[in-house]
Amino acid sequence: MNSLGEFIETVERERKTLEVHTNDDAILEALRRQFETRNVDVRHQSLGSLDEPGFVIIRDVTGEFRGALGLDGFQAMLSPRIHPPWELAETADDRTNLFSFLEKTLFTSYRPRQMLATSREIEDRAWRVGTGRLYTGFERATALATQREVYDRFGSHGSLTVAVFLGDDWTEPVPEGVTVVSETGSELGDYWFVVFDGGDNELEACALLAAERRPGEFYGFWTYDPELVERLVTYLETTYDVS
Amino acid sequence: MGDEQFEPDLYALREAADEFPFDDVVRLLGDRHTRAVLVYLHDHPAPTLEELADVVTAKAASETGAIAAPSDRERTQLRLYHAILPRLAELGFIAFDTETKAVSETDIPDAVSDALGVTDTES
Repeated sequence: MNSLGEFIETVERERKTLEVHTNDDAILEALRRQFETRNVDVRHQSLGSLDEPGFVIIRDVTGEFRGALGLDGFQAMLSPRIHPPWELAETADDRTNLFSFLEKTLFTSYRPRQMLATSREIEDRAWRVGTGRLYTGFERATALATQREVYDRFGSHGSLTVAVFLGDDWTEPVPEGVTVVSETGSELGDYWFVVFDGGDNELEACALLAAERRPGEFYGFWTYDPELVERLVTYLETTYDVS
Repeated sequence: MGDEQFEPDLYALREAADEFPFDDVVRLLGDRHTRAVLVYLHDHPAPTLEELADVVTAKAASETGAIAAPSDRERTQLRLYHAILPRLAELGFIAFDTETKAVSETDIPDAVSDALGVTDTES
């Protein structure tokens, strides 16, 4: 990978299909609405004589079957209040293929509020694990300033290695135990990311990466795929002076 | 008519038992996957093995509340190919083309469809 944008392009190319088998138009419409801001093709198949409730089949970009479940279960799973994505990752560890569908699907218009919520999930996880690498891209020094206290605490928490990345200059004192990487005019000014490598446990690895395409509007993905997280960590470490 | 319960109507089956071996069919209908296959065939008389495996796996997942992974689908496909479809072919309910790996013809007795609660939607 040569840029953060390439990571997003890679995920972009893995466009998935959600095949909805139902005779219920309302359910179909609800799912279409739910996925319209993600790069997912929602297709409809009639359930015919099969009993309701229907089911969904998830396919990868080649049309290959990646997972299936009942519509009732799927809708429950999509409801973030019941199951935040990170909880799902923990309860369904043997279902990586299906869940890699729900993650690694691009979101095309996250608001700062949604970005913050997802960032917080990753930071919370890093805090709980207390070891490993946490790399956070703030875009701007002003954004780091608002999280200053949080990262002050991170810097001295457990054996976490913490680095923050900025696309402009950080003029205030550096939080203790935190490496500040700032490169004015670089890609760092355009990307919001939080990457945690999981420490000793790759099942805890997770990352969020998004480009701010318009002010306050983000385009990107979140993932707990350990390989992808590792590639992000490696990219950041080889591209920037993290040590 | 009356009850819309999804239970094989054994009486109707017995009535039509000269068309097929009654015990074999009752045993077949006791299997979730086979039931799903027969219902699906009612609407789609010539599906591919792949298509059947997808739908039958997903249908079973929705009934059990489970999430089906590709490995589950793989197992279902093997069962379809080596057990379920050959039995249905033996009974003369389907013809299966092993070259194209697809059902080429479906001829399910009405009594069997009725027993599955599949009502003809044609009016």
